[in-house]
Amino acid sequence: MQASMFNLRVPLPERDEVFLMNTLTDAQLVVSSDVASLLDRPGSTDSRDTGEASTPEELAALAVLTENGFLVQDRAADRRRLDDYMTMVKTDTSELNITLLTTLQCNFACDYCFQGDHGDYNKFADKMSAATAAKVGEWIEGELERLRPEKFLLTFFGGEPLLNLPVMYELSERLWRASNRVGTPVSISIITNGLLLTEEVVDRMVPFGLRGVKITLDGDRATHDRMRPLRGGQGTFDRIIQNLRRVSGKCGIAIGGNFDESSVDSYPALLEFLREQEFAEHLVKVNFKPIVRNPEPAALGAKGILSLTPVGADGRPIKPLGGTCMTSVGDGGATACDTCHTLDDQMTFLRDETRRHGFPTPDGVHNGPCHVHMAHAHTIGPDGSLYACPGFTGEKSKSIGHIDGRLEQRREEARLEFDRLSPWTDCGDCAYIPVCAGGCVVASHTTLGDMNVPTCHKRSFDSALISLAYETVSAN
Amino acid sequence: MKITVIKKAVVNAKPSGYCPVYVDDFPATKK
Repeated sequence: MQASMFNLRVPLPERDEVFLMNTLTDAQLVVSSDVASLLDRPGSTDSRDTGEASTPEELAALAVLTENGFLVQDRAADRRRLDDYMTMVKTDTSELNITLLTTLQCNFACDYCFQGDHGDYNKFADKMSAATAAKVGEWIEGELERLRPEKFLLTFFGGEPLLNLPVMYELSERLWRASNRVGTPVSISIITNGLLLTEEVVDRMVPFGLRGVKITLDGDRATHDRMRPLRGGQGTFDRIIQNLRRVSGKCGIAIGGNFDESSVDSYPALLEFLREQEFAEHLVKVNFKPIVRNPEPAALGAKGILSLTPVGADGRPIKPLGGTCMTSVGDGGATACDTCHTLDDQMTFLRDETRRHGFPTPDGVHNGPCHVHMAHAHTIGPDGSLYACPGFTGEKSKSIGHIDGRLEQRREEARLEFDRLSPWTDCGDCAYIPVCAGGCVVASHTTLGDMNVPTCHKRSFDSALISLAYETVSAN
Repeated sequence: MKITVIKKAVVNAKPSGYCPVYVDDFPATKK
């Protein structure tokens, strides 16, 4: 027997203990240092390998470590278990996940996004028609009938999804009826900037399965209004907060925020503000993420705009996200990007601040593998094209199919390309593979030019793990 | 030899979220 490659350890010297986690089994233990040292003993559970006789107490401890996956037969066994896990994630039919982009249009002119209400972008951005929505409904009904999943998760996304209310209403009602027919409960969420999130919208959607909305606040009032204004420069913070007050209690509310080095310092003030609001108790998640800049500032486009994708010398995006509201797709720290490291550290700071203010927030360790690795998670673009991930909806060559079943060579090639994805095979023996799977495929594609090359935020995982360990210890 | 079990091993543990790092998502699935 030997220590699993998926073991993580955080020493807790002040207690002479160690926090242990196995990312494949998700087991978490707090053990005394002498127990942790058993993991380093070669042939740990067999005294014949070491020449040492294990005491009954040691044998009992070794049994617990083995039961929870911290000790395995050999490295090959770990690899087999990883392969089995990735196959399980890929083929799992218990959930049908649909992310539906009603439009790529947006009514915001975010400072860091070259899409949205800038120039004539909205004039040409795709918007789902009623006819396409009817076909989309039919296709999803077919998937529900075929899979009979235990859960059906439907997410409306964009652009700004509330700019196409007729399609959202029609599909919600139709799919609520379909999910009732197959006996699968539908859970709807909306990812919106919050400007058009009225009581009327929420009241209309709740009976058909609306469970929660996610809105974005980019710092305190002044910072948010600078980062996420309307086209004419008007601020949006007050209107969003007013909307949140009106809809709170009707459905779950999650708050997100996108920070960079210029805005991160304003987030504690935002957290203070949120804590004081009556809707604070209804917030089911608060999670802030970095806007990751690409490392070639000289190649950036319009002055003052932080591009989210690489742009050429003419300022045009090389691989545009096409209006999909993805806020950060730069690569990670694998290539020693100081900016990323700084942002990773700031994310840790904001996660701790969020917890300190009493809001639920992701622990930063339990992440992927994301939908791109799941066969029954689909993104549907406004024209009915199918994608493996919302990050590719602006790039037609990355469409992996169409809801009308048309057969096209380029889509088939893309489908096969996504089907073969396994960037984690280049991650060596990294313990985070089961919760990372090689990082964001969109980031790999946009910044490295190859979806199958991993992007790495190990530093971020490490700091999140330390926070998780100390939080766990203080709660027990 | 002290062990406190915080969370036992889960067979076929599922991913906890959609895209918690990059996409703005609403919490859907808990690990």
